[in-house]
Amino acid sequence: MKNRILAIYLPNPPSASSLPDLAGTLLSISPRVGIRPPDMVYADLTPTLHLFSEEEVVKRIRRYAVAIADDLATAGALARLGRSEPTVIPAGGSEEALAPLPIQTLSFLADPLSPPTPKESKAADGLIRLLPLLGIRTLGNFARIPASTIGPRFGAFGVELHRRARGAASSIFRPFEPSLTYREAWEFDEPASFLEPLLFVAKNLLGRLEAQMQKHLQSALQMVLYLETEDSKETEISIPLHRPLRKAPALFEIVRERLSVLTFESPIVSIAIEISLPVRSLGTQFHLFDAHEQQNERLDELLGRLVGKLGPTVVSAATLRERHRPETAWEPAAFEPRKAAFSETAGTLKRPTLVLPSPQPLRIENQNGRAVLHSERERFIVRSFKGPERLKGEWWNEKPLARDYFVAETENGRQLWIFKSLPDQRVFLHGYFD
Amino acid sequence: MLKTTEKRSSLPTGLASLDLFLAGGWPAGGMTVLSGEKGCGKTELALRAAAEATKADRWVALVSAGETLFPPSFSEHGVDLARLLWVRPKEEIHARWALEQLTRSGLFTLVLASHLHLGEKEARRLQLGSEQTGAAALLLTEPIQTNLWALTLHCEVARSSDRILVLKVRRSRKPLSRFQTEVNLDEKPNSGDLSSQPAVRIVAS
Repeated sequence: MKNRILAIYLPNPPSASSLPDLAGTLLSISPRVGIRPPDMVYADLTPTLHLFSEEEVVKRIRRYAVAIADDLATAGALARLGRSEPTVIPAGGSEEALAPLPIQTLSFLADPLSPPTPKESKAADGLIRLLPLLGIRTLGNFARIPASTIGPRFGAFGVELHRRARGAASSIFRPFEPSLTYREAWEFDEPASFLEPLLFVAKNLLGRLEAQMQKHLQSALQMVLYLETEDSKETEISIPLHRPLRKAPALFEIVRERLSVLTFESPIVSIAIEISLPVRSLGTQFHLFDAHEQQNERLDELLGRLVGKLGPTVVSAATLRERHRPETAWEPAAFEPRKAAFSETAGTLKRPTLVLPSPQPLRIENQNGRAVLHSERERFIVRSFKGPERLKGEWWNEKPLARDYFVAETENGRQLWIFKSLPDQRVFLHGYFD
Repeated sequence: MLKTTEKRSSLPTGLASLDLFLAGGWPAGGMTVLSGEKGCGKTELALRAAAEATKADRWVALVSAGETLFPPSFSEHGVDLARLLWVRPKEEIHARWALEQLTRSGLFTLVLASHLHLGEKEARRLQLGSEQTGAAALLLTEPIQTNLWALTLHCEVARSSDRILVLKVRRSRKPLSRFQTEVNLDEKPNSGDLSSQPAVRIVAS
């Protein structure tokens, strides 16, 4: 099967990002897209012809000068003619389509993938001047010259042009890779002294970033805000996201939270938002009335706001670990309640609800037959002890674990989790059964 | 705009006699304060309700700042850890902010806050948030002297023995038949209360 190449010609593109933007858009109809700076974009339609017909494709991009042919050079040359109507050359028809074009269009075939080098330009110009003198005025005339005679007369570059004029050019090109970061910036005409204009612009920028990510089927895992004040101070705020997000409203809520707590000594003159860690994600198609999907979406937004403001380490679920040392018997885990099966509730051993960050030493006194525990701040008169529960392990460590745990109930009904360290017999308060 | 919410008047406490005393359970769509000394059993009480909610596939959020809560004990009280979101910022101001976000999200049936200090204004905002979404907000604090007028319910908790807690009602918007009760932590929950209710309801707003 022949290749089918789409070429789009953009004379005088409005900005430097026009070609990558267009290439990004074309990624939604073909996985292989190429750019030829400064004015041409290609897409190989062959792999997706079963999904989009050529007519459909040209209909979508009608406002550009467009051509479809079997090879890059033919499609590129025909698009470069700048016809108002799309040119679609049937398979195998490249030579025939190029034949009537004047020999001056040979330069269009010079290099479909990159601008010609000065040497190539000189060679092409030489040919364009020479060939009419020999009575060769169209690409068809040029193509009909026997191939074996081209090399000695016109050199290697001439051979290549001859091959292209016969519609036999290569269709191989280096695919375009979307940029790894997306950035949108705004400079204020009047420096912004209040939050509102800043938020207004941020919302706009995020809308544009969403569109860019949408084109490349990517989502954000991290954003960076850049703010510049009138006194030329720059502030950079990195916002990690708990999971890939693309939608501007969700990203805006996160940005709003961050901006609303900032204070600046002088007005803001520019703001930029960068998606510094884009990841490929197809996004979700929501069923209109599926409450669970909407719930998941809202959970994503909420977690995004929380993680954006508080950081990823403080927002999580918890999962238990088998450890000798009770304070290390759990670790944070991603909060994914919809994916989780019901977890087994475990543990027959009684564990306190509050555990101190580090055990506090206790001094024990005997007052009239009652144990009184003194911590740094408090004094507990103990009514009863339950225990011990011996926890021993980690013998391979420098300080192995060897503790006898007790539940101490105080006179006023409080329950404490205390332990006696076995090597040195010291007593510590470790938590509360709150 | 669609809004997902659960509307019920109370959330089972996980203890049959307490449900009876509170005429159904902890107020849903309202804020409850459980106050008492550290070690008095108020967190255990809250975890019983969290266990009931997670068993019925509801989501529970927990906010703490500074205090180190201990997840193995949550599990011991029957809480499904996969359905419990724990937010534990270092600073209390951030914890208060997170508490409001979680309560107003309408995603969590029960929102617990451990040892946060709320002013009257913040309490009012939280009360409003939970009224709007139907979430039960349970605040666990050390004894407080001030009266927070926005509260739906304020109970003081004390332990009379290992497994028996005493609850004294300081304030209640709902009329109650008594103002003090004893709760046995070994008691069984009411059967099939929460899970028989629909998980989510969509209402247009």
